[in-house]
Amino acid sequence: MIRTPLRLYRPESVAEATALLDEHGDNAAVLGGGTLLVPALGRGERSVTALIDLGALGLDGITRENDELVVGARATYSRVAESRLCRQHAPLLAEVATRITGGAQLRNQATYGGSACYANPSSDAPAVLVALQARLVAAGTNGSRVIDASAFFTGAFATALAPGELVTHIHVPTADAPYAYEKVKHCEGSWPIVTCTATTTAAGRRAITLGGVCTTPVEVDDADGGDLTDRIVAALQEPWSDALADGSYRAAVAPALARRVLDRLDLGATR
Amino acid sequence: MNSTDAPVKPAPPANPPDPARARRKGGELMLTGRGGYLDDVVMPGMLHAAILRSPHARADILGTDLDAARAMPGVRLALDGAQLAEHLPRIAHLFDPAAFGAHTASFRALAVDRVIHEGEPVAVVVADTLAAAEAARDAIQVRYASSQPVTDMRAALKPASPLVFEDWGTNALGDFPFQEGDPDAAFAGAPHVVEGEIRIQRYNTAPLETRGYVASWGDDGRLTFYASTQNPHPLRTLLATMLGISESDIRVIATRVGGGFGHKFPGFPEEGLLAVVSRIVDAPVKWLETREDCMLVGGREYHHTFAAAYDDTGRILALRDRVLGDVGALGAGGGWGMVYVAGMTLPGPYKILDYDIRAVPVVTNKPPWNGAIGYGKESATLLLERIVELIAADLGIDSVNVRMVNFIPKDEFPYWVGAKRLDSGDYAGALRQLVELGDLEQRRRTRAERRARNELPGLGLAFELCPEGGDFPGSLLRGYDTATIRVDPAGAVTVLSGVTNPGTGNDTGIAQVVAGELGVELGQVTVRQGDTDVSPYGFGNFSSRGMNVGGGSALLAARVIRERLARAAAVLLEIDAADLEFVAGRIRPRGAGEGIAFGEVANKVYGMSIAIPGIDEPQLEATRTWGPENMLHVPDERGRTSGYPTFPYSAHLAEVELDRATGVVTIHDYTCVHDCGVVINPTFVEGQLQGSIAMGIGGALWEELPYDRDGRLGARTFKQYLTARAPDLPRVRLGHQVTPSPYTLLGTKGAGESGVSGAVAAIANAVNDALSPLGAIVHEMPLTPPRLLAAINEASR
Repeated sequence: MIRTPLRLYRPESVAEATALLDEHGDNAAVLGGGTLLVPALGRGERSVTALIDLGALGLDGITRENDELVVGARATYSRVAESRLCRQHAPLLAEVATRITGGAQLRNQATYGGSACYANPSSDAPAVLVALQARLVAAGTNGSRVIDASAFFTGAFATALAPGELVTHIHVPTADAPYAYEKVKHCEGSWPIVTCTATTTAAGRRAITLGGVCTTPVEVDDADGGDLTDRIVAALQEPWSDALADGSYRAAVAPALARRVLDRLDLGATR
Repeated sequence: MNSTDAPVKPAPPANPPDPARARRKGGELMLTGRGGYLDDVVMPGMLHAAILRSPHARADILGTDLDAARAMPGVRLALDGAQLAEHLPRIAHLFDPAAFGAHTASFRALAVDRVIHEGEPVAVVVADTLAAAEAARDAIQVRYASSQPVTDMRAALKPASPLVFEDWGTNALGDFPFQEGDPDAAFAGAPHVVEGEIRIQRYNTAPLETRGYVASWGDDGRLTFYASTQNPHPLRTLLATMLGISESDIRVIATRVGGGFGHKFPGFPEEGLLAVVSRIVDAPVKWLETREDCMLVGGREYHHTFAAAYDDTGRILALRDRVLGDVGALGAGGGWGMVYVAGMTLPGPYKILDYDIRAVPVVTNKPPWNGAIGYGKESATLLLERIVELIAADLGIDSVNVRMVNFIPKDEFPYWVGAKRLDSGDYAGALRQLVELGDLEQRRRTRAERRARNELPGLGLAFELCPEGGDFPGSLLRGYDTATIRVDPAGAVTVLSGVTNPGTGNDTGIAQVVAGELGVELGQVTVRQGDTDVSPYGFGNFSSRGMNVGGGSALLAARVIRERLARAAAVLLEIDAADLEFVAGRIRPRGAGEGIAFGEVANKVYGMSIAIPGIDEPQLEATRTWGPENMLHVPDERGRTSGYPTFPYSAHLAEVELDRATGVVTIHDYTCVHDCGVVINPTFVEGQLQGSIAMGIGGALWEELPYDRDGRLGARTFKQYLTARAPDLPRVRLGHQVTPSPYTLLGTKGAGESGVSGAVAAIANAVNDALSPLGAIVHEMPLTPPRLLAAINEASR
């Protein structure tokens, strides 16, 4: 049960939302899809007196601006998956959205924005956003700033957001270069244990982004030749451990997963 | 056996139940949100309880401070253990180990002075809303002095181990031997011996609906107790004992249960607690088990140390096993007995004459077990089926043949083995049918092709014997039950059953049997279960008894009614009662004529009895009690007894693929051939199998309740406790065999637990088969990807 009396705010402008966030500080939580927040409040893991609902801010859309897609922070996985813009211009984003665990009920509520802010190392969104070279727009009372995905994730459950900031949009460069994505998990209900995205850079090189292995996504470029496994192992500074899998397992799986994903990329298959 | 009225001779039902798959009674209620589960119970002025639980596995309680909690908004009551003890000194055992020659302890609803497991209730708050109760609970201060808990059952048996119960002098609850023949001699003379250990994790059943209760006292001093429970009458008896009042002053109403699986046997502290606090605040009080609370209740954690002697044909000459079960801090519920059953189930379907089994329940500072479907049989089955595969691999023999060589032959039933008189069976026939239905030979060819491509495919066979219907004299878990049938003046039929159903549908099956006997439409029969003011004393549901004894007792009662109506109809039609049949809602001369409507005869009995000569039994109500003949508690000339009367069985075949680089297991195919004797409603039986197999798969591969050295649980939500979900499971291919029980009225054997044991073993065998080209064996469950990858890498060194 949510056991602290709380007030739900439903601001109608980003300025109003950031002002509320400023005012309530640690006593407020931002409510996006709620799929992580609401159960945590019910279990008493988090306790707030104010909820700032993003639902009336018009942040649930997807548009195209020049050579970028602009995905609202409140756009659900289902919306991304069904969006023609996403499927055409950022197919990796759309594909991963269809494969988020939890069924249609969850995908109709949960969001890339929310998952990025949660920054669970053992999840899909962080590594995918880094692989896509996405940029997150963070709004605060002093205005907005843009944060590269590779700088956004700073540690396990930690982001570069400053107090009083909330994510409003995710900018994703359009990309029609081949990619491949795979993840390893124990079974359907499990968080992703290791994820791997392989993309082709503008220079024609293959870039690998590993998620789930360390506290933040790990990028490995195959530019310099040498053994891929060695380069991956060298890049894994501190493997992440949680209840589902030890860091040693994740580190052991990562190179094999990367090889598999690269093979798929070379074959030109996206699935 | 039946009641003290004139005995009724058993015979097959005159109108066999409609073999068509009758739809579940009340299904439309469940689908439209009108199911009536515990949390749907809302009473005027109802309050809510929240329980503070110990965060420590082993600690002294130095002091409690409830002042802040009592001052919070909406709070009506807050009590700690010392305060509650004035009202409720002890809770009552459902299944006291002392009655079985083992140690025992007494337990409180709220801890006083010390706690012995994480999650043990320490204080309770009652408030206007659940949120207010939980907020106030969070404000309670308790000071503890914690100490190192006992968390490992093998360490617990070492002399230096701290004791969970000081006065026992040991952490072994008991030691249950099952022995026959001369295993020492058999081992000494055997050409081959295989030895090993198997470690099975603690896991539980995770019912979709957790427990809950609502307690309410009337102005007349009577307690009404709603409960999501499997056993309303035994619960009523326990409450009467704890509260010091008569059972006639208590009404227990078991609401519709969304999954029982043994988790909802009574014996929990919250039951007596809620009754008492409700009386203190003089208002109805509701308590709901959170998912986290539910994860604290465990089961199934065993350690086998085994040896099997065998000859060159694969025949098992002797079996030794010492099986330890970590039952946690015992508690007052029905869980510890599973260790007894784990030993008792051996040697399963195999004809082994020399064996030495010891089943040892061990207490630790983990939360107590309650029942968990399988009830120990899944532990015994895993052991036997791994032994069979080890033998087959060692000798280079097909493990199908190893099983065939060892099966009890079908013409040797009834077959005594230790504590069981097995009723009937064609084990070889079921296995043959499985081999064909599952296309084993083709799958073996495919496996060879995949292995040639350096993949790791695996095929796993398993055979499961599932003793059911357990009868435990000296307890309130008995193998017989009672039904009352009433027919009203319009001819509507009501069955009041002492059995309950946890969502498995035996109410529909019982209605089918009664409707068949009386020749009326299924819709004309209502089955009432779960209300102790309505139903005769019964034992609820457990051990797959519902259809067997619920249907059997209802059938006997229906026959009494039928015979009375037949005599009345015979008078009205002026023919012989023996010439009547009950078909399509009419009572009519066999083969000719319209006869009279069932309802019209009932009406005449009520309205014209005594006035019409010959219609002189003005009562259309009958109560009958029945249990299988195969419950044998008086030792025979060889001192043998058998507490389980029915023995369904099943054969399983799993096809998996093991990913060499990740250790992830994918299940490609699954076949099961099942024999539960006569089947009343195939839809329900198949549903049970699908569900049980899903549970076994989850238990073999992913589900675990891990405890750290401090006795703290590491899995509290479904993101850590990984049950199987639909995309993980193949569509299970099901086949049936029917060898009726000669000891039950309906020929049924029970189908409530079959599948779990076979699935755990089939998956374990399939995974070990996948590892076999690498020379690796894994006997530690669950078979998670990290564990399997470690085994793969170890073997590759």
